[in-house]
Amino acid sequence: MEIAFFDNLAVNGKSFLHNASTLSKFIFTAIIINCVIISRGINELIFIAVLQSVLIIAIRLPIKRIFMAAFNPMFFSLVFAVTKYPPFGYDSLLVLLKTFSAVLSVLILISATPFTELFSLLGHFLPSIITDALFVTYRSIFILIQQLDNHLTIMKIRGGFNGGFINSIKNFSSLLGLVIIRSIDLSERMYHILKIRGYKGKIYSGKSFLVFNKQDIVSYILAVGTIMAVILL
Amino acid sequence: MNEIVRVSGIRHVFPDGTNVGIKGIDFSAEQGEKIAILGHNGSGKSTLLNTILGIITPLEGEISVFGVNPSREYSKIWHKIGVVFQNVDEQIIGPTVWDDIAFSMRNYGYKEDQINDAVENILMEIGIYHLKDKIPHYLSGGEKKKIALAGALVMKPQLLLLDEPLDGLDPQSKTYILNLLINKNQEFKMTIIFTTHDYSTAHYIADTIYTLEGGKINIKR
Repeated sequence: MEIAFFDNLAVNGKSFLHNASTLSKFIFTAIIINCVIISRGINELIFIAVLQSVLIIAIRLPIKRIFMAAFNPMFFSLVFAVTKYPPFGYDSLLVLLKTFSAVLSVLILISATPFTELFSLLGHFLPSIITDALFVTYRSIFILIQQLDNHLTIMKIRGGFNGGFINSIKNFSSLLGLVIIRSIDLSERMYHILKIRGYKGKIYSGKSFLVFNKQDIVSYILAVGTIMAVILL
Repeated sequence: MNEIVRVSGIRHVFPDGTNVGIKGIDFSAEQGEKIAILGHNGSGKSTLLNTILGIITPLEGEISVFGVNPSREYSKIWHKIGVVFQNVDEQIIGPTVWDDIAFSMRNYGYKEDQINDAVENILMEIGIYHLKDKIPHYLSGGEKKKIALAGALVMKPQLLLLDEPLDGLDPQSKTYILNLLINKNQEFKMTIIFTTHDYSTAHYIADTIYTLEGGKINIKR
């Protein structure tokens, strides 16, 4: 998953959801995720997934890339669904659909909200130690993904994946080890950099999350509609 | 003139056992001085800068920045310091170029109209106004360097620390940035300390040149 890709969507998007307040988008996402959690049938979950797909198209997000990104975590829920409810049946499908819709909700949120606005909002509710950890992690992931990508390319060029399966696994393990060590060092450095740049445990986005406009109404209508549908279906 | 920085006889051991010692004369910087630290790769230039910043606590030696020990009392001095690291990817934080340059000003509680004016001016001065709405991640190394420099200069720091600031810039940008630094230095009496391995750059801008070689620091002019 390319984080910069979502950053770009969030920053350059011009839809009603992009223009809605951060708080409304956050509430909307929380309501949808709660609807996903309380849903007990396939119909409700399919309805939510369809609604999310329509929303993705309406706010002009690239649906194919968003779906691709949503399928990554579904791999892990597939493992869970198959082992918990063997053989693959109704309950397994429920688990998969729930994961899919929950992930889609978060992807829609991060595609429509610049991360500084999200962290700025979270900073009002969470202790600063948690926002610090989340923020440093988020920034580090950017750099680490790029590094992992560069290391992988160099390893391929230098024949690191030749010489059989065992050798490839060995080289890949050392690469992961290197990235983990680097991530510890990086998070420490990034924390210093944030402090030097005046960070005091709170992100200021330059935009108040309490300023509402007419664009917010659409997200609330969608949220209420989803709750009604989940109850009625 | 006021002394801003003094470093004497520091030694630091990295977790892998690498020992970096800087012995010899004291390193000092006065208000409004432009200082170049010249040295080969691994000579300890970045270690010296990180020590001045307080990121590294040396095992031995004396260090004073704005009259305090930076590793103990960093909160008293960091708002007076602007910094551009060698790896600028680590210091670019905002989702857009504009937001990144505004980051420190927002943290220090400036009003939005003050921030807008300052950011707009610095973007123009550095010649990157056309990048203001871009996502930094997709920009080139040289462009990222300019953004990091803008983020540091926008705060009008009393002390500007630059770790190999011209690496990755084309010759035209190099000259432009060097002249901009000279102007800023004259305008705000800003102390500038920068590391480089390029003698001509050091010679062009610096009032004082320190050289680092084999763990020894010397003054060249």
